[in-house]
Amino acid sequence: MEHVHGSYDNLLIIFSYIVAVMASYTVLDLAGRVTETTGRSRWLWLSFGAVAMGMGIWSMHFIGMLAFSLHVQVAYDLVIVFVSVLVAIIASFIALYVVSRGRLTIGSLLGGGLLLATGISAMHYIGMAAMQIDITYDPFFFILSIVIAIIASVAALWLAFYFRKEVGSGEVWKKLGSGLIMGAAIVGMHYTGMTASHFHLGGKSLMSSGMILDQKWLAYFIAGGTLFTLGLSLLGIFISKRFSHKDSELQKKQNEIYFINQELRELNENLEALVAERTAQLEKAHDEAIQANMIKSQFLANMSHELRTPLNAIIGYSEMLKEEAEELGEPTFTEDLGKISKSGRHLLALINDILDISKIEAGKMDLYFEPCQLSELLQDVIVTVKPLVEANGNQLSTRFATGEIIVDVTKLRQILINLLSNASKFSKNGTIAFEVVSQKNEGRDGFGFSVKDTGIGMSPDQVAKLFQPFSQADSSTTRKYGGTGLGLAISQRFCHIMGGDISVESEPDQGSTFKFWLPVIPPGESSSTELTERDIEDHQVDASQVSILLIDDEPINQQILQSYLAKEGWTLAFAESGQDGIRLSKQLRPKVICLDILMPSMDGWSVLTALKSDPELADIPVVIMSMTSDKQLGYSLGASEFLTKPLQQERLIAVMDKYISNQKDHSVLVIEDDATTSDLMTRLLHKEGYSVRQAPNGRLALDSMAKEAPSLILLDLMMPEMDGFQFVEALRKQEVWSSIPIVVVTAKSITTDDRLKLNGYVKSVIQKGSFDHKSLLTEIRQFMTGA
Amino acid sequence: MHTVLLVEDNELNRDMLSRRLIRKGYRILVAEDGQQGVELAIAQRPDLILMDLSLPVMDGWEATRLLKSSSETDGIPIIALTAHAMAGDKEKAFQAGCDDFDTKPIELSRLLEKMESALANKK
Repeated sequence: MEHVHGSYDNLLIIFSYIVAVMASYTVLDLAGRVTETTGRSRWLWLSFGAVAMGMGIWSMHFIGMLAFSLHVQVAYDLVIVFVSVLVAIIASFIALYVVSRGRLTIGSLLGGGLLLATGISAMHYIGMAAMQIDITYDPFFFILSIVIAIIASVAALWLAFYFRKEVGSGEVWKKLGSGLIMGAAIVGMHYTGMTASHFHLGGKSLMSSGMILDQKWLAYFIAGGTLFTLGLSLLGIFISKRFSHKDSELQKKQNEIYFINQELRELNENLEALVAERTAQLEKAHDEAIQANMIKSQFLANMSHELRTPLNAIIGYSEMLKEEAEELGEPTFTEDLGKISKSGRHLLALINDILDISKIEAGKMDLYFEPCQLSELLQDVIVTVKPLVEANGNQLSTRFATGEIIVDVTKLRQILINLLSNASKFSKNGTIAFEVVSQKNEGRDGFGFSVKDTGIGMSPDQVAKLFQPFSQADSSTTRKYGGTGLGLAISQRFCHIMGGDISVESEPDQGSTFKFWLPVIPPGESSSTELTERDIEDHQVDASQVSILLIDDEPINQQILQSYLAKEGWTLAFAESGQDGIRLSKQLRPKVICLDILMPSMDGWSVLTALKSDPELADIPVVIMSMTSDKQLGYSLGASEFLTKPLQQERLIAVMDKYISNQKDHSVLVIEDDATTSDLMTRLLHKEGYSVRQAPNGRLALDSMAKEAPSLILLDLMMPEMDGFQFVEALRKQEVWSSIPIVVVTAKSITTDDRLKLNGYVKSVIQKGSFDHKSLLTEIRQFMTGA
Repeated sequence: MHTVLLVEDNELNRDMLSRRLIRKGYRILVAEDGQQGVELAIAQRPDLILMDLSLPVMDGWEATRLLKSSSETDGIPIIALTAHAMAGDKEKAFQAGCDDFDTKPIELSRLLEKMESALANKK
């Protein structure tokens, strides 16, 4: 057997190294990409990388083989060559798979490295086996080549993993460096393996069989494989860059979207908080405004009384004195007293105007509509204004349509007198034309009223300010012509609330024409048939049975109340507006009123005030059901209780029960010999919902009590047959009656002796002289609750 | 000569109106509050009552209601007098049982007319 020695072609060795480096670099670059993808594309990238690396290692090997020339022709077995390629690819696949995992443990690093090394080594020696030549191996270099393969593989895997984690600047250089190391390892293993080989010419080379590849074909294969590897590497790198660019853009966009979303969410949350805050502020402002308005109205009512009372004295005394002076024949006094009286009346007119405008602005001007014959009203107005018209030498010309109008007569009268007196005031020796015509406006029947004068007139600027309160055409006007400057503002507002409108045409020195229109049937006032239906509907609720009246504009709250209280056996009535609520309160006299606060047109505070200022309704307890929690305002206006929405059924029932059963089941026995007093007290108590029995003396009272014991006794002391003291004495003997509270109502002055007799048995003694129905009722209520 | 009970808490107005009415030929009884008014009305049975509405102790509405609810006093006509300007006062006065209504400051001729017509209706 001939031993063959080979020699190496240096250029091909360098080329083999470059191929190894290229393959390594590609794989290192791809490792990162594989990690970032999932699913199908992950497997695609894995396969792609495995093929590139496998082909690279394989190409390197066979370029190495080409570089090694044996001086003899060596053929290669084609099948074994393919097997070696397959082994290289499989090994690369395993290596890539290991590297691309999220975490690299020492175990998987060593395992992966070992598998990769086995693959590379297997590929090398299988490739060697493909040579149609006998080869013996030096055991030392053979083992060394395996060791180098293992070390190189582990190092390569670790590096690949390391660079995948360490993303930053100089990444390309790091990858290139590790590519060089890894390439060197592969090449090192190969040439160590080659050193271990000893080639012999002999049997095997001569008995070549199967698919044989000669050196020339091998060169083609290697060139193809190298080109393929290079191409794949380049393609891989290119795609990888493209993808990473796209991906990073995508990532950037995603991040942007995320941040924008985050910002939007924050803004949204801020907005909600802001809305809540503003709502709270608005609610507070609303409550405050309502409160301020209430105070204003209350103030006006008080002021009205306070101002009119002294005026009453001024006007009354001056008129009385004027009459006396006339009788005594004192013309100077008469004239002066007349001036006082006249000034008093003027002051009164001013106060009335201010009150009117304030009431309108506070929405407290109530209208009283009634059918009215125009001719009668107009005649009355003419009589009133005639002296005013004639005072300035003016002529009055009239042209009136006739007919009936449903109107607040007082208000219409006030408007007409105001316009006519203005016309008279600002015209001298002129003509005042007063006309009333039947006129349709927006399809509604009505009457047009006009007052035309030939007076001083007004400029457009003056006209613009005309209907504003407290503004006259010129401030000097007030001094010259008098008046509050409120007349037209009041007239305009009266027109509006009666469903009409007022307008003016005027030119300086040419006079003014005031026109207004009012409907025959005012808005909101339904025709008579509808009224009847409504009345019938109202009467369907049996007034005597109604326990609770709910005033709330939200129908859902009616349903809630109905369902919550369904089993309690109480009759409920509902009103959807404050006005309806007050009307129904008067009609039904419920035991308790539940009141919502936030309602359109007339809110709960106004309703509460109206209820509490009506002596007939003031005693009906009002429970406020609202989301607002201004309890102080509520209690100061006379509310009995506050329930915050959403309502709790148990609490609702408890509160309702407190007010409903408080009086319903309680009876009072009035023991009084004076029929008038007894009747007065009975009526008073009836009105409060108590059942009342009367007894004219103690004896009959005891008889009555034997039939049915009352919850409380009102006792007079001085009575015939059996007086109060004897009655108490008799009552003491019956233990079942000992807990019935007794309130003594007497005109007798109580002595110490009397007090001793009554002590312990009588809850309270009320002197008849200082009898005050409210405090009596309060005491009764207290003792009832205590009983 | 008709006896008129004037229930009025303001001293000046009470004095002024009573003097003017005395000059017009009426016999005048005065009460300072509703309670006094009711007691005086029960005790003296006047021909007519002029009732202020805003009164201490017992207001005019309540006094009217009490008087009108007793068979002994319900025949006495009551004219409500009020300085109140707020709407509904008139309606409330009629609801309480007043026969007529007039606002203060008093216009004597108008009040006298109402008094005469109330007295005439009574007979």
